[in-house]
Amino acid sequence: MNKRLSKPSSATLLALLAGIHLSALPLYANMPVVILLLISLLTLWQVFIIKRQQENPGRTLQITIIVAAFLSLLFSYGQLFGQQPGIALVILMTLLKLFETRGARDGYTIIYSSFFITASNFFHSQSVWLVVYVFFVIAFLLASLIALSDRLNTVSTKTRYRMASRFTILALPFMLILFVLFPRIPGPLWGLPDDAFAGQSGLSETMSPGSINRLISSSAIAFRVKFHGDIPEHNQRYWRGAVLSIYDGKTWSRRDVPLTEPPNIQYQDTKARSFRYSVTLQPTNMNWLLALEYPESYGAQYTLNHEAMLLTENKQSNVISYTVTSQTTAVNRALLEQEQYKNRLLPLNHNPQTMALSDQLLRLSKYNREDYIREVLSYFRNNHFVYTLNPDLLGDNAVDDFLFNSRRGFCEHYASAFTYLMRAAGLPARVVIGYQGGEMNPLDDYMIVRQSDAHAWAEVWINDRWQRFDPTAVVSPDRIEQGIQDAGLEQDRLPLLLVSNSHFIKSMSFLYDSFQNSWNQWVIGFDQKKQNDFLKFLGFENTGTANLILLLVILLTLTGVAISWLILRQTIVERDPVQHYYNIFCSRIGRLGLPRHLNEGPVDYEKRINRELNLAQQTRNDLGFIFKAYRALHYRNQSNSDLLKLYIKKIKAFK
Amino acid sequence: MDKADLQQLTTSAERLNTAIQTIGQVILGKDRQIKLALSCLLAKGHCLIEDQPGVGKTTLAHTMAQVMGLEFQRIQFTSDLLPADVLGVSVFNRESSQFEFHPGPIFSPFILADEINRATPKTQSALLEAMEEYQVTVEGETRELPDPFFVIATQNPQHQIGTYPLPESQLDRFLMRIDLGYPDKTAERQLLEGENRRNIIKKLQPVFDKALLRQLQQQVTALHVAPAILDYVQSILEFSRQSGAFEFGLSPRGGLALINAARAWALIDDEKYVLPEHIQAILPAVVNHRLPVHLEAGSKQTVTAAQHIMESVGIS
Repeated sequence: MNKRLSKPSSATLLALLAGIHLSALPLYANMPVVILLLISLLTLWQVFIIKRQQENPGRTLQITIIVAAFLSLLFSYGQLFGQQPGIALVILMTLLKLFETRGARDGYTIIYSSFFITASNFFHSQSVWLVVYVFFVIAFLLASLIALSDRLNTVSTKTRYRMASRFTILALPFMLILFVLFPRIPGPLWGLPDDAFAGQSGLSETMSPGSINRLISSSAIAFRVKFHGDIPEHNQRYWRGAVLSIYDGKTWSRRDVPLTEPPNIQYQDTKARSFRYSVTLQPTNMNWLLALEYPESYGAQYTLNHEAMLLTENKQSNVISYTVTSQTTAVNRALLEQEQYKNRLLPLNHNPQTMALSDQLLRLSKYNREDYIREVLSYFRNNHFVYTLNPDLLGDNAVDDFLFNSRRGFCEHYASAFTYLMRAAGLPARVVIGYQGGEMNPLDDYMIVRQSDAHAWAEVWINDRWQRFDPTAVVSPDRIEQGIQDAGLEQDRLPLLLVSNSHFIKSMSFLYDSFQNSWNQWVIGFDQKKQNDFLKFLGFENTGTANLILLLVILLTLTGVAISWLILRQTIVERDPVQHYYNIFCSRIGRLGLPRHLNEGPVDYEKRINRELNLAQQTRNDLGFIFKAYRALHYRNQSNSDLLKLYIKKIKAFK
Repeated sequence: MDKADLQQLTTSAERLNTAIQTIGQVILGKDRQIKLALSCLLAKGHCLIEDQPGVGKTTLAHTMAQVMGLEFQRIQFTSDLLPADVLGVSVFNRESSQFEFHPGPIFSPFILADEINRATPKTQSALLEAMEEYQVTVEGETRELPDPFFVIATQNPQHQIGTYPLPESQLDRFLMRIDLGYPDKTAERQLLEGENRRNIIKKLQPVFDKALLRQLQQQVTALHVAPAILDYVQSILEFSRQSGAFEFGLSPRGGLALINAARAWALIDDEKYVLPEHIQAILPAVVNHRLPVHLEAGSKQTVTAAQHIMESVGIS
């Protein structure tokens, strides 16, 4: 057999296998069981082949496995295209490549594929931990690459890993330059397929019983807010998200409001309560942002629609930052005459008991709108409603079921029932979902709003304006005044972080979150604007894409030259540190006016220095030691690491 | 120097320096040349002295032999000298009816081959081959020469008529060429004032014996030469071959000569390893006779090959 085509050694093959798994490890969390099974099966088989030095399976068997792989992909994802099936396909194919590995060339293919798989981890997460992990994976893959190229086996394992780590570290400057200078395209860098964030939790655009409830156990951060100035009270922290005005008897959902319909918000000039703040929003995959009532000024790329929702052009698949000024005292008067009915629509022949209750309460309030609302709220207050995370399952007439049978519900139940009662009485009303609350991070002076702060409330058109009503506040005032952790809910359903009394856990979590926040602000949120600002800060005014690329190329070249020089120099130092430091020493003496002649040996040079330079006794002693050590180290047949250390130390100290 | 004193000299270096001093009592003001000659002996090389008559070539050889405790033989080369006169002859002994070998003067450990250029090339090469091989073959029988075996050959550079100066290729066989030169004023005065050199030589106590000398020669071979020194020697060889300053460069034997001579010099200097200075110290003696300077027409070449090399080859 041709020598070049000889199969890599068992150790190398195992390293290749380990490399694939290391690079794909974080991805396994989101993978269907069938694929995971297939991967483990192939891995075990491959280990068997390597350990027993078996031959690779034949063509037919290989094709069978490939077909099996495609079938299981189709079975798991329903398709072969899209991001997640794509990544799974690459992982499977890379694993299969091992089964037909005949030479070093196949090994290279596997390692390069592993690099690709490693990069694909960032589809799912951009956390700092993943970045740290990826560094280790890259070092490992580089070490495998070295092992693969080192066919004569001249490098020890330790040296190999040391080399790989060094290469990884040497790549850091390039990484930083590319990170800072690579031209940013507004929006995600590459077109992410629609399923890119399928696995993420957060508010959705619809609300049905249980949709907010499921978020409560998540301590994940929804967004962080940095207030520039005053901070609103806890019960004023209504982070308005989506307005839901269509109800089908079970689910509230958004109405398509054309952007041509303008918002109609009256801002007050005097005595206005304004808050200015910057929000760093985790990816929501929605096109609306969260803001306090009602945004007055915001970035030009955002629009405030008719329903006073702050909209973005695209769905938010990245962490984004935006700054808003909100006036909590502003009044929303946006309801056109012709669309009033749309906010009064209810499904036909549903919830008869609720309709009857509505009639009864209307009569009680003598058909006065405000009195009616008051009656409804006191109905919630006085009829033993329970605010709970474990509501009962509701039947077809969900509102009836809730109001008259179970009376146990979470905020979405109350918001839904309240809005229903309003519409039943002919009042335009709608549900608003968003977040209520937020906790200040004492360490870093910003507010954290978690998924567990998700909330739903109602807005009613009364006195020619939309007014916010929160029936949950009636049932559980502490929820609104204090926050979810004090609402008297079942503690075991809440995230540990919220219910913990341990000061230590809390401060650690705040500390961690400060760090996470900076990471989001400066790494993930480093968009075109931040890039421009940063470059301006550095003194580059003209930051067009062409200039950026020019700067990028120049800096990369300079860094490349600098690093090459460093490597060369280091090799010289490593090859002969004694001579290297002797040269440094000689050049130092050269600065005193007595450079070493090129053909001058150490003995002659020492004599000449002592003869011609008038040095202090201490210096003379040091000089004598250095020359003696140099002669012993450079011309003697033994290496003495202690002497070498002392020698280098003395030379470094020699002035 | 008494025997008791000599016993006390423990290290080789001390003994060697005592030897140099002792020789220096006879050859005044030529310590450097004595040291070179001694290095040459220690490095198992042979020495060529090319100088005016009467500067003390014979005296040096004689004194050295005496101090080193070696039997001294002098061979005066003349144009009618035959190889057999140097190597020895087999003579038929009538009584035992056998040929008996009568060893020539070459079977002495210390030989002064005086005015070697007066002999015919045939005789010269008999000596040179013996120097190289440490053995002589006479009438088909190979005989070992004594160990140690050291030759000091002299060559008179003037009155070249009717002589056969050694060709360059033969010069290579001498480890060193030492120039004695005239003594300086003080030394000459001392010389003029002092008693007959021959008488002093007779009174000298040997500092070494053969066994000790062999031991020293082994020490020289074992002395450490660092890669840095080999680098330096290689640069010298390369320079001698490629600079164009010389008609032809140093041979590999020249490189070995440099290292061995430097080792011997280092031993005398009481160093455990060779330093670049040692190479430089023996450089003129080792390379000057091996590198004929390429004389350009009209140029007044005053720089020797060694000086040229020293100035041009750097120590890294």
